[in-house]
Amino acid sequence: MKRCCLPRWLAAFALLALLPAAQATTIIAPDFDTMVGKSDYIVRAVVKSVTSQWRDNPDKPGSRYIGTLVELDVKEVIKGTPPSPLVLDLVGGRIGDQEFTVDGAPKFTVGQESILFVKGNGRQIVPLVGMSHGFYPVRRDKRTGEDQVMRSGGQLIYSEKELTQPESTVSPAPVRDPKARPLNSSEFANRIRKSSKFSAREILE
Amino acid sequence: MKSLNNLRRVGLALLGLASAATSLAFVFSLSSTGMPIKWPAGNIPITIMLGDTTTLFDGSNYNTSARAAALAWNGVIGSAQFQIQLAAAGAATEQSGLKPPQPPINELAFADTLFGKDFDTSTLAVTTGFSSGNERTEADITFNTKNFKWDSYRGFRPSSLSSDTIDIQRVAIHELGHVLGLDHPDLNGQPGRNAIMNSRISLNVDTMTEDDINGAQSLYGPRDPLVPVNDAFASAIAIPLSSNSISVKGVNTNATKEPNEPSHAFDSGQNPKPNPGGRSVWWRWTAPSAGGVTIDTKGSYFDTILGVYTGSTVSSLTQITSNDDESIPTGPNDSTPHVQTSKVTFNASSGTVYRIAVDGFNNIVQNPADTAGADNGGITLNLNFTGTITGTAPVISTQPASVTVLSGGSATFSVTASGTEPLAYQWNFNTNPVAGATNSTFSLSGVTTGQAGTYTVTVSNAVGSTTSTGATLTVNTPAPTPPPSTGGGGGGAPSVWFCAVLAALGLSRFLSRRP
Repeated sequence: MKRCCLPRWLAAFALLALLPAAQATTIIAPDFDTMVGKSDYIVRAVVKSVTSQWRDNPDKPGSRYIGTLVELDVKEVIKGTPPSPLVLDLVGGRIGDQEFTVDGAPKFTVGQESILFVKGNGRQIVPLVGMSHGFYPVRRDKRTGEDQVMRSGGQLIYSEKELTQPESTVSPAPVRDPKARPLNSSEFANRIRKSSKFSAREILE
Repeated sequence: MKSLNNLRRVGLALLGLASAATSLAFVFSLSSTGMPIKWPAGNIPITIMLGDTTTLFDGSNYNTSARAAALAWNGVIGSAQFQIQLAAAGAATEQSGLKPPQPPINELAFADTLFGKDFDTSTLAVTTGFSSGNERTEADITFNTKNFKWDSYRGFRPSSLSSDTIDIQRVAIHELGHVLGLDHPDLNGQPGRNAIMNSRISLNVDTMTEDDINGAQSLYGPRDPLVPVNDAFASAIAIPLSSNSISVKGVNTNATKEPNEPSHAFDSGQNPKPNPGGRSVWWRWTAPSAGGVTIDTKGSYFDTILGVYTGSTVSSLTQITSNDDESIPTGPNDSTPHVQTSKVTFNASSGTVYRIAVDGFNNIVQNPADTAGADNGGITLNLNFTGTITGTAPVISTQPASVTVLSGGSATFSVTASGTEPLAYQWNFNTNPVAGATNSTFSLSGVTTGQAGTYTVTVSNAVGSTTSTGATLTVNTPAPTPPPSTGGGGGGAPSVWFCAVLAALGLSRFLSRRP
């Protein structure tokens, strides 16, 4: 006799009920569409200057921290209407011997090109959706001449679906088509625009 | 050289770390100098000011749950330890700000905002901190109370808690991992790994995984009080060289300095003087021919000093060369560049045995109040040789045989090997090197059941090494001695004494049950 007393549908329901517990430690990593939807604007830009400064901490009078202004040369607006000039305001930076870090935040260097999912500039600690999850460096592939999009840690992206990290103990990393090639910056921008249009239509309807 | 006002710890160390990192899952938070950001050896004072008045799901309160997170890290790392102080919620926080003249406080606190700014709505907590060079000088953890509720539970979130309730302990473990110097593996080329240091963890990972522990121990050494097998000069590990370059790994946490051991290098600062070190480990290398040698410590996770000697005892060494910090120009304006790793070059003579000591920089020479001792952590020792590799690598002709002994007895393993002399032996127990077991035979006396297991021996010379097959040591416990017999006994029948005891017990129980 089959002894299972838990119907399959109930087991599935129980599993689904547990899924919201799949929280991040520092970040609840948003999926691609959510990232696009949450962004105030998305740009492809090159860093023109990085200026760090000591600032007073409004939360704790008498103490101070290092903040940084990152001036961007916007090459392409993919979503929204960013101000001109676009200057990101971040917590963290380096002045002389002192370096102030926000773990999980990207570091910007002059000349670096990236696609940025900007949100709450001037209001958030790091004005990117999901901190490093909203930062995608672009590099020129010497072989093909294409501008390839990377994760913040330097890994190439083959599909926007990869941006949602797999739950390592629940499901294995997705198997990639061996013929797949890395996304270039214009393909990545088109996926963003497509997601953005879809989100807008949903809202209008 | 260790100096907080020195940003010259740059350059090729990054290359060494990058190459080392390719085979590792854990990743480090790198400073602008390219070195991992880490604390110096000693205590890391932290003040947990999350509150102790709320009883949480697992019976703890915020302070004790976060303290458990810190103790979890303390349980696995060696050279640095969180020194925990608990405080009431809302105690005066500073949020990573410098508030002279008070010393900075490393704090764990709740807040709705940080530096007057909002958290990203998906951000649970943020670790912020100052570093100088690659040395962490301050760190704070701020838990986001604007977007999340906090509780404490193991495994999956209990159904009685709302969906925006987060387990503070696992987040504290993650953030304290940042404080120690670990970064997110999933965002740095290691997706799909099981680690609490991932930026987004799995459903039920609520403590450190093996990968997290390996990462932290690479920076601070293991908690295990065992000293490294090559702590003593006489237990130096032989470096085989089957090609012109080799990298070997080690750790100097819990290592010591022997009596009459020299100081291995001069502080390369502006006022050079011998640095006492204090946690040295040893390797030895026999030059197969004459040629140029370069030895460096690129890829090591601490401020190393390096000495190369000839001589057969620690008290009669002749120094060939030494170095504190490698000098590498990092740019046109860097007039006195240094990195924390060390590098020496010298010309080797054929057949000479060179003794190589790796120690940690001891900051006491610059700051007499700093009693943390020599810096320590994971070591990568790289040796490059320009000469000709000649000779025959070791070949084992007689493998060690398995042995079965009674507990308290003796066991001896032996191996026979050939190859270009000198041959060096290192016996291993369950893959771990056994200190002092460096001959072709290895004996144990007073054997305990804890010594049962697999023994191998690695035989090496200047041109290679080989490891034997495993020999099993089985330790049997002697049968208990039977009680003395008062009758003739025999044939396995119960003795009269035994029968008498049973009869007495039966009679006693019978009498005790009578009304």
